[in-house]
Amino acid sequence: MLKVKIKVDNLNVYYGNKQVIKDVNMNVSDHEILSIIGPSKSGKSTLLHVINRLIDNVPGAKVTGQVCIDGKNIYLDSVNVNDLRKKVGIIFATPVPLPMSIFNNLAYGPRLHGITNREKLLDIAENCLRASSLWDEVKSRLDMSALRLSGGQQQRLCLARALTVEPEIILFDEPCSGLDPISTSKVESTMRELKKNYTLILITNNTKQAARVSDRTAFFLFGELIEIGETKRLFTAPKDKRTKDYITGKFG
Amino acid sequence: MNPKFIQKIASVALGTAMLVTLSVLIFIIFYILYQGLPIVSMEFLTTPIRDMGKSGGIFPTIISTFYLAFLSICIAAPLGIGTAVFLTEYTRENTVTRVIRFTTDCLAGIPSIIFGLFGFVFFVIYLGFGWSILAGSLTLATMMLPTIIRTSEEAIRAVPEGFREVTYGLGGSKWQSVTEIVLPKAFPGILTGIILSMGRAVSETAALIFTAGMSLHTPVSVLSSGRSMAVHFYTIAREGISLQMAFGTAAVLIVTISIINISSYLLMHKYMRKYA
Repeated sequence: MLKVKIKVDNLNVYYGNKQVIKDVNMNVSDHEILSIIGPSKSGKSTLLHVINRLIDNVPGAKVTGQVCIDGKNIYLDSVNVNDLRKKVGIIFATPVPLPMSIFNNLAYGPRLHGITNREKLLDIAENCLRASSLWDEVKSRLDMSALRLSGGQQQRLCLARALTVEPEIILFDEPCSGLDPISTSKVESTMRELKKNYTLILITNNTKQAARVSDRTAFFLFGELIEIGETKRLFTAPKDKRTKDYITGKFG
Repeated sequence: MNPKFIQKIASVALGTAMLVTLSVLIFIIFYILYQGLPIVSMEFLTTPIRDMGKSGGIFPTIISTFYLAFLSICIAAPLGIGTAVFLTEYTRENTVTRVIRFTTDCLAGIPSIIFGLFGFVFFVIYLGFGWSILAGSLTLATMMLPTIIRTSEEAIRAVPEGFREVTYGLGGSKWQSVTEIVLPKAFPGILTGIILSMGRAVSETAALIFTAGMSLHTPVSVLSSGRSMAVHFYTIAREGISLQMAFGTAAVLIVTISIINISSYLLMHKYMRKYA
């Protein structure tokens, strides 16, 4: 068994009086890709926001239970949220390129953490763009506005930008929902590459995508974790009837 | 009547409204420039006021206007932008923020003479600044605050939430998200508010008569009294000292405001292109 990277214990999340995550227990191993599938409103995105504590910014949200990364509870008062978020990168469903040049998008994160040397920033930018398979497409026009890239390129730029602050975990919140099949397959192959160095959690509405890229898959329904297991096994022989109904398209 | 006919009437009516507005505006500006510009010369701009304004130039009023506008912006802009950032980024919408916003809107509707009276009682007498550039600027600043706060707030709110999340996601703090992305992105909108209120400061009379006084001399410090162009214009026109000099001053005032507006528009345009 691989080393446990993220451990979630008895996690409950409430928005006001409404409970959106119900008593979830799960582990994520080092260097694996875990897919989370399930219909909308089943708490998938909320789970990601819990893992990097972006949920702190949601008015009225309450979290109980434990989330540990590398054995340390990230909800202790002594945890520095900014350091945590540096360690846990996130990619949103809609690519959010900042309204500046490609280079400045990539330099943005390191600059937040005090790196100003241009040589070094260029180095980081090149490495991260290579890692997200975007380097060859943009290497000659790093000064171009990032807004002029295509949707798929923008998403890979956001991925590269997340990599610039050297995270260990990357959360993907339906990263391909707005992309065409070719861009999608590029993002997917990039994810498989990234697996070597990072732990990835991928939320997707596309069960086929989960089957293609992930090692393990978790199925969420109305805030409950219904089933989690090897992707191959979960898709061929689901233990729970609800999982079977969902992946065969009977609902959702 | 068929819809097509009504449509025709509507477009004629709307077009007329636009033409009337535009021609009134153009008429005023051209009339003042026509009356005033012949008297404007290098001498008019650079020499002191003589005979209470009957002859001489308007140099002291140009300097006073510049001081008042500059100082009041320096006071009002940081306070206003700071308040706007606090209201939008550092608090959640609740009763307190709604009360603050409501009172700000009320302040914007108060006649300037009331601000003048307040400035006179508080800055001039209670704090002992006397009739001075400082008292005038502080009064102008309180008048500008509502506009600056509300326009800055709108501009900050218009910055997409995603930009902040990107900053947090990369491990940036709230302050970093404000300074690195929110304020730069909101800058054109904030600048618009500042320019608008600067126009108000430059053209203000009532509040300034009470607070900055009407001295004919060039102010030498923030505690000197001084009359702005608008006050000068008001005085010499009302007291019938010299209508021609009054029009000359008005022409300079209009040209000044146009220069401020056009140059800030160009600046903004250049900035937005660079940033997009």
